[in-house]
Amino acid sequence: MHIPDGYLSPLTYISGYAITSPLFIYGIKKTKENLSDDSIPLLSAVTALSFLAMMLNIPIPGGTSGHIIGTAAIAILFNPWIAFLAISLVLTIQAFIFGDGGITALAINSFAMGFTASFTGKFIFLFVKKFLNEKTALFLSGWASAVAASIVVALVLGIQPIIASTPSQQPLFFPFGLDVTIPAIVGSHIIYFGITEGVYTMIIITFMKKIKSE
Amino acid sequence: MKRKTKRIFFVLLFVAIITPLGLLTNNPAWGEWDKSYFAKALGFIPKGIQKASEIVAPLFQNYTVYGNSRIANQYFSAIIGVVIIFAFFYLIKVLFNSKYLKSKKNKS
Repeated sequence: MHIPDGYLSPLTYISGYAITSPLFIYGIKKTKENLSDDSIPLLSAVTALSFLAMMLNIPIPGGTSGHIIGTAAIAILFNPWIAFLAISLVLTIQAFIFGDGGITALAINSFAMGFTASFTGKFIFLFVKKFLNEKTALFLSGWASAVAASIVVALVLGIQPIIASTPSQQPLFFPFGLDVTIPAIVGSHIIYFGITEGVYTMIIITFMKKIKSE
Repeated sequence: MKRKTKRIFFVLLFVAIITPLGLLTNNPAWGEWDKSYFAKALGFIPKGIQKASEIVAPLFQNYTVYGNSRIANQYFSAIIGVVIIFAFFYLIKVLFNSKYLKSKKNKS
């Protein structure tokens, strides 16, 4: 789900920065209000866990792979703004140091895997918990967070051939349209990576609760 | 730090140790292909993708930090990433404390 450099037209990635930057600044304000000093070690650990989890590529049929992002778990443990900022930190390190995800695409990636996944995860958790047991709510929260992030990525990639092609209809950036990106990216997250995300969210939160209750 | 929270660090260590499992697949994620994929699939490389590396470039390419061993690179990357994350939050903590102390001083 890490969009590389060169896949997005300047119009898209500049808009990405324009949308994500104010959210980021507001997020810093919200984080200052909500983060207590003694919760920082735990936040460092779950953020580092997200970074490591993203290195574990899971192969799926069809010659592609994917990974866990861990955003929903942080959103539930802390709050969605903190998760958005923490995952943005991970994505920044990946883009600038390890070449995973583009530098131009960083804001869009942060919007998808950070902001969207975070708020979707938290909202679904709170909503489902009203009707079903907590484990189910945790699983669905993780699942929905990954699917929601994949929808953003599929939309952004899929509109590239429409907004940026040569007069002879040759795409300048990402070449496949929505008819290809939606089933490939969203589909694989509904069937595979949503499930792994759900299981991860369930395990991490259950583990943290167990530690706390001892 | 509380003894209880320390347990999460064992989980972290465990996941760090198993990161080379991520190398079991050579499949890239859908939509994270390199240039050669487009040449093969489309018969040409879209101009923007062709020129991307001229505009910006990361410090390392694809987690290749040092040498040719992919497993070693996976470990190097895991260590570098985790250290940066902890250092960053530690800095925030220091900033946090100094500000807190300042406001306390002003009050007294």
